[in-house]
Amino acid sequence: MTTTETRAVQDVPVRSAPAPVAAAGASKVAVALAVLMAAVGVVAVRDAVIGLGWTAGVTWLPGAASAVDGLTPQPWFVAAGAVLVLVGLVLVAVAVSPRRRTAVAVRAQTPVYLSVDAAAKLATARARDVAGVVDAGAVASRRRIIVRCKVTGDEAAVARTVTEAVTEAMGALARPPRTVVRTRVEES
Amino acid sequence: MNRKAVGFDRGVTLLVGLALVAAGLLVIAWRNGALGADRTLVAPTDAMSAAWWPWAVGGIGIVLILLALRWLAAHRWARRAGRVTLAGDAASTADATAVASAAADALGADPAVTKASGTAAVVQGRPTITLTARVPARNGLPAAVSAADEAARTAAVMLGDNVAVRTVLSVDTKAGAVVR
Repeated sequence: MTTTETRAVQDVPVRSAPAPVAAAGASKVAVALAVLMAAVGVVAVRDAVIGLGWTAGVTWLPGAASAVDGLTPQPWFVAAGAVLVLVGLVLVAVAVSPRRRTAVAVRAQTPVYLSVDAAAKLATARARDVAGVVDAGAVASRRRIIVRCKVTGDEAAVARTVTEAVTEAMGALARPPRTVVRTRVEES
Repeated sequence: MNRKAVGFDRGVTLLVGLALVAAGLLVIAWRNGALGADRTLVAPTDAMSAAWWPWAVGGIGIVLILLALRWLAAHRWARRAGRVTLAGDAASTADATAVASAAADALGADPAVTKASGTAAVVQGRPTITLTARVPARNGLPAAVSAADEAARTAAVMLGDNVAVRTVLSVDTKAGAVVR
């Protein structure tokens, strides 16, 4: 006799996938470097084709070489060197910086994430629903959400209500961001 | 794009950054007389007029173009997860993309969700189903979360433990409130 094992759907374990992340900064730099590398290659092949007499034209590499040949230290070297060092340090920082997380975890039984932009939109919608708020906008990061409201009436009371409403909406997140509400009284 | 490609990008970016820092310091040292004070820059102009120069530069150019194209090709989208082996039954496979799209259809049918789509890709070496759902901005989150839980479980029931699942919610500001 065969036994069939059945499980309620609610009991099925779901293997959780990692939080979505943005592309690494180094990958964007890499694409730029690859395009630059291809461009250098194209210039080299162009010079080769002209140098072999397969087509007419002026080669670029010997011209560039003779322009820098016999170069002696110039006053602008200090500024140029400083720029090179600065760009180099930025690239080193980009190379080692971790990939940015684009979403925050939501309280749920399976892995559910809310994009950071969506958190801002959610806060905006919630703030607009508060009586006394004429218009609202929000910017969000994973740790903090800043809501800016145009209000009428009692500014402090409306700000308090907006803070409560947004905090309550963000309560659905596994780690709710800190809510900051900035209000401005609408001139009538 | 896999981990190896990202690692390579990081390595090259680090090396280029360090090279630029070194070049900048070298130029400043040259200017201040700390290094090669009375020297001038010598370009290989003699070599450039040699008969072998066009062949060499052409060869290097072609190699550079091919390497650049290979490097760009490493930045395609994440590898799709096609057929995955079912847990507990090595002989059976399932089409993860079809399951992802079926789960997305089920999720999209829920009134708390305005639109849903599903993809199956290899994330960190594991086939992963990502469901993407749009929820209305007003009061939509709790209802959408339970719908997402259900859809994720359905996908997990079909594919088993070999496949990871996640749902990413975005917010639709135009859609109205969920009425239940």
